[in-house]
Amino acid sequence: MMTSSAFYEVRIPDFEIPAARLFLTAWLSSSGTHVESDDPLCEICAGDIVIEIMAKRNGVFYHAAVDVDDELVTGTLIGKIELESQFKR
Amino acid sequence: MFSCEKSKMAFFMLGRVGLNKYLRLQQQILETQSYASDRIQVLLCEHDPIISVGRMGSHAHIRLHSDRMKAGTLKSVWVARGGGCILHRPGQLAIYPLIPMNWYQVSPGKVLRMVRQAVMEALRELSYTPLKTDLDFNIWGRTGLLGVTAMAVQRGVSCFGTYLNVEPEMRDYGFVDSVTRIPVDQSRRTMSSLLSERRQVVRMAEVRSAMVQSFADVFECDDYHMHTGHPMLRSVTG
Repeated sequence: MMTSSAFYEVRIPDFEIPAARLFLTAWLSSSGTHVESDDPLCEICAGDIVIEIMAKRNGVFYHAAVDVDDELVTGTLIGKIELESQFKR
Repeated sequence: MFSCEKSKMAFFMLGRVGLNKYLRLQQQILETQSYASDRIQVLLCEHDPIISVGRMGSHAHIRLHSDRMKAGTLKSVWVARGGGCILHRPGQLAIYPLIPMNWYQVSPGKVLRMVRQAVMEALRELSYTPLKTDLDFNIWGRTGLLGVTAMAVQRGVSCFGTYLNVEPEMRDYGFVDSVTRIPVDQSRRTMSSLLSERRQVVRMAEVRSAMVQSFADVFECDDYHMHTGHPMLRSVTG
């Protein structure tokens, strides 16, 4: 039995709010913790709206080099989820 | 165009409810509704006097005397929504559209645009035309800011919403800056009201009724349900 790891990149999606400046306002999952699909990862403020970014995969979530109050743009990498897949040889 | 052929909507008239109690109700709805639901819930209510401070706000935007705040006659509360400081009072209509965004495949930007469009069309139905501005998602009139839109997306569902000043007592509004950016032809960051704008009686019941019809139209719903109160409100304390 062998275990391999792959990563799922978490990026800022297009919120379709062209004029808004985006800021990371909170991490909702700590780096290195296990997350399930639909768990909240972080909170982004886009002016009139605050948006929770949810996990789309199960795995271990790692923060990218982004801090709270950093200004972001669409597509910015905010973290990675390490996916664990197990298979027999 | 809304992405699904027909949406399912329910409107809940909560009457007057404290902001903190509403926030607990909203949280309870989000925890139970979440992804599985295809129903849009729109909650309409008025709040007791309180100032809510969103992620873009700070206490520097509240210019009320600190002794009054300390005396507890007017409290402030931090809330997890966009936008800045908003003074709530009876006479201000709070409109909370809880939209399961994944089900309807809508982006946060589209939700903001649709909510603004619904509020604007309701006001036109009441024979009032707000000013046109693409600066933000707020509602502006000649006398200033009539409605503030401040929302959040939690668990894939939109929450919070628009606060429309219909006929609140205007005391203290001049001391709370609700927006950071203003259109070029405006000079104040504080809120005005529909009553000041129209200079004639505006009935809250008419505004609520226009709002229901307008939201149903904008969200393309022919068959909606109206309720007084909310079934979960009884289990929410104080």
